[in-house]
Amino acid sequence: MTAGLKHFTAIALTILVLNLGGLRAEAKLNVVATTSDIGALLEKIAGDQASVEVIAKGTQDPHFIEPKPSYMVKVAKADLLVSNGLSLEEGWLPNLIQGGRNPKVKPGTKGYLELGQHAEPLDIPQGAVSRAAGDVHPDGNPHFTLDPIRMGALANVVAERLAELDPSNRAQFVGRAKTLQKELETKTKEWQERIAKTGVKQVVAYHNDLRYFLERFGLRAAAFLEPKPGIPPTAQHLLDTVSLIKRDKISVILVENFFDTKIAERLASDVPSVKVRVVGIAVGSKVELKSTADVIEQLVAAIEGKSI
Amino acid sequence: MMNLILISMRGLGVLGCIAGISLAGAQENKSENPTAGTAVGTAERSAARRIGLMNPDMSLNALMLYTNSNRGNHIFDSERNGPSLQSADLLFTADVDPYSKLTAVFGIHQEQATSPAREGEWKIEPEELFVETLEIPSLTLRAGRFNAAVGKHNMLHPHAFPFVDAPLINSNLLGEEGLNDVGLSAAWLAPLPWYMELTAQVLSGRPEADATETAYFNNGSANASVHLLHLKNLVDLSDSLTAEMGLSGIKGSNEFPDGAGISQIGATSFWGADLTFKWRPVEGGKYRALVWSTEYLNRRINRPTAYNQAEGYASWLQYQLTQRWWVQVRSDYLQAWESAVTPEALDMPLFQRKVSALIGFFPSEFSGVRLQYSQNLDGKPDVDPEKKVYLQFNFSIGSHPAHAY
Repeated sequence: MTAGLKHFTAIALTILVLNLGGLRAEAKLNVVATTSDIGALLEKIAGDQASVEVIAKGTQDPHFIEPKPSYMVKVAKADLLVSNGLSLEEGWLPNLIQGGRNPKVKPGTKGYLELGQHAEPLDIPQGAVSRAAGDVHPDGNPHFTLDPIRMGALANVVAERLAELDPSNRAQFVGRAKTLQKELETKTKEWQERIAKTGVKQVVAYHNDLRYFLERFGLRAAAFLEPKPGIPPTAQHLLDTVSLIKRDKISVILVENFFDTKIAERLASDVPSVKVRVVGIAVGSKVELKSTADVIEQLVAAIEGKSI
Repeated sequence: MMNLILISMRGLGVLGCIAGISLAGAQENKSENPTAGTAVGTAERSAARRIGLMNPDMSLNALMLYTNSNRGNHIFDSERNGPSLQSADLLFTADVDPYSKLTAVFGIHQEQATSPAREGEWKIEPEELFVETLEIPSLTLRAGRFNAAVGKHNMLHPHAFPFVDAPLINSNLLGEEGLNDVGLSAAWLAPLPWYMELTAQVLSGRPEADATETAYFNNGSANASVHLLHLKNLVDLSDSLTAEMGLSGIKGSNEFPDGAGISQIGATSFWGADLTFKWRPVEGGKYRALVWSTEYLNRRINRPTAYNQAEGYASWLQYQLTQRWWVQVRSDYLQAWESAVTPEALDMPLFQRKVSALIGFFPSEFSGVRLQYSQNLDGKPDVDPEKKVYLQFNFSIGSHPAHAY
C-alpha cells in the first residue's frame, strides 16, 4: 500500500467512524421543538420516551431568533422537528433545516410537523397583503399556543406523530394527550368563569400576540402600544392610547415581557387607575411558567388585577 | 385584520443583513401573489396562494449611496463625490424538487467610468447562481457560481456588509468583487457536539476577460483550477454568547510574461483566519446586541524569480443601542512587500491603515440608513490621508431568505 493510499484510507475510516457515531441508533426519539411552548407540550406527551430540545427560549421573541449553527447541530440529530408554523419561524427555521443536513426532518417528511396547519388560525388577512401595514402574517396569527383549547387538540396531533415514529409507545402517547386535553378543557371553564366575574371586556397590549387568549376568554384588545406590528411605540401613538384608555375606562394593560417594559411604567404613571401587568406569554418566559396552563393561569390572574 | 402579529420574523432579517449581523432574515411571502389581493373567498385565496408557491421567492435589495471624499474629485481617482446607485441585488430561490435547491443572485451595478466626465456603463451579472443538494445526510454539495468560502466577509452580498465598504484585505487581496468563481463545493457537518463544518471547493480559476498581470489567479491555461479548504467551528459559550473560529486556505496559479515575453506559471496561495464573538442576551435581546469580528488574510504570489506577498486584518465592533439603532467601529490594516517586483505590479500601496465609524438607523427590518466616516492612511506620495463620508440607504422588498448567522 502506498503512503498516499494509507493516508486516504485512514481519513476515510475516520470520517466513517465519526459518521457512525452520529447515526448511532438509539431507542429514545430525539425531538426538537422550535419554541418553548411546543417543547413543553412535547415533553408532556412524550414523557420518558423521547428527549426534547428547544430552540427559542420563552424570554426570546420567537420571530427574531438568530439561526445559530449550534441549533443546526440539534436539527442534525433530530428524529422529529416540531414547529409552530404560520410563518412564525420563517426568518430562521429554513436555515436551520438546510444547515442541519438531516433529510429525516425536512418539511414534507414524517419527521417534520408544523402545528399551525392543524390549529385553525385566526386573522388570515383578506385582500392585498402589504408591508405598508407593518409586519403581517399572510397565513394567520401564529400565536395559537395561548389558546388552551387549541393546545389540547394539538396534543393529539403530536401524539399521533410520535406514535407513527415509535409505534411501540402509541398507547402512552395517545393516553397522555387525552389526559392533557381533558385537563385543559376543565381548567378553561374555570378560567372563563373567573374572567366573567371581573367584568373586564377590553385590554391594551403591546403587540397582537395575545389574540387567541383574548378570543377564547371573550376579551378584545382595544389598542396596541405598537402603532403598527413590529414598529416601536411613538410618542404620538402613546398619547392617543392614553386618551383611549381614559375614554374607554380600560383597566388593564398587558405588556409581554420580551418588550421594553419602561413604556408600560410610563403609561402607568400617566393613568394611575390602570393596572399595568408585565406578563410572560410563553413557557419559560418567567421561571415559574412551566406549562401552557401556568401561562394561562398567570394571564387570567393579570386580568383579575392580581399582582403577578 | 392586518394587525396580525408581527414583528415578524423575517424580521431581523434585513435589519440583520443591513446591519451586517446576519440575523434571521427571511421575509415571508406566502401570499404575495398579485392575485391574492382580489381573491375574496377562502378557497380562492388558498388557490391563489398555491399558485404563489409555484413561483420562486424573489427579492430586490437596493443600495443608494452618497459619498464625499477629500480625494473624490481628483482626476486620478475614478470615484467621484456625489450620489450614486451603489448596487442592486435581485435574488431568486426555490427548491427545484425534493433533491435540490437553486439560488440565483443577479447584481446590477455600474462599471468604473473610463473618464471622470462620464457615467460608467451599467451591467447585470450573476453574482451567484448555484444548485445545492437537500437529501444527503451531513453533506451539502453545491455546483455553479458562488462566493468562495474564504473567511466570513467574502460570502456576503454588498447589502449585508457590516460597513458600507468591504475591509481592505477583501477589496485589495481578493478584489473588488471578492473571490467568486464557477466550481464545486462540498460542505460536511461533523457529527460532534458542537458545530464543525469542513468545506472543500474546486474553482475554475479562469481569469476574467479584463484580468491584468496583477490579478492573483490569472492562469489562462487549461489546468488552472483553484483548490480551497475552509474549516468553521462555532460554540455556544452561553445562551447569549457564541464564538466562531474559521481557517481558510487556497491554492491556485498565476501567469505572467517573463523578460523575454514568454508566459510563466507561478503558484498563488492564500491563508486566512477569522474569529467572531456574538452576544445577544436571552432576555432583552430585541434591544441590545454586540458583535466583535476579526479577519486575517495573507496572500502570496510566487514567480520563479520573485514573489509578492501581502497580509492584513480587519477588526470591527457592532453594538445595538436600541431596537433600531446601531453604532460600529472598524480598524483595517494591510501591508504588502515584494522581492523583485516593482511596487506598481502590486497594484496597491505598500501600507494602509484605515479607521471607520458608522451609525445606522433601521426604521424597519426592510430599510436602513447608515452614515460612515473613514480615514485611510495609505502612504500615497504627496497626498493627505483619504477622508471619506458615506451615506447609504438600504431598501429591501419581496421575500428574502434568511441570512447565515
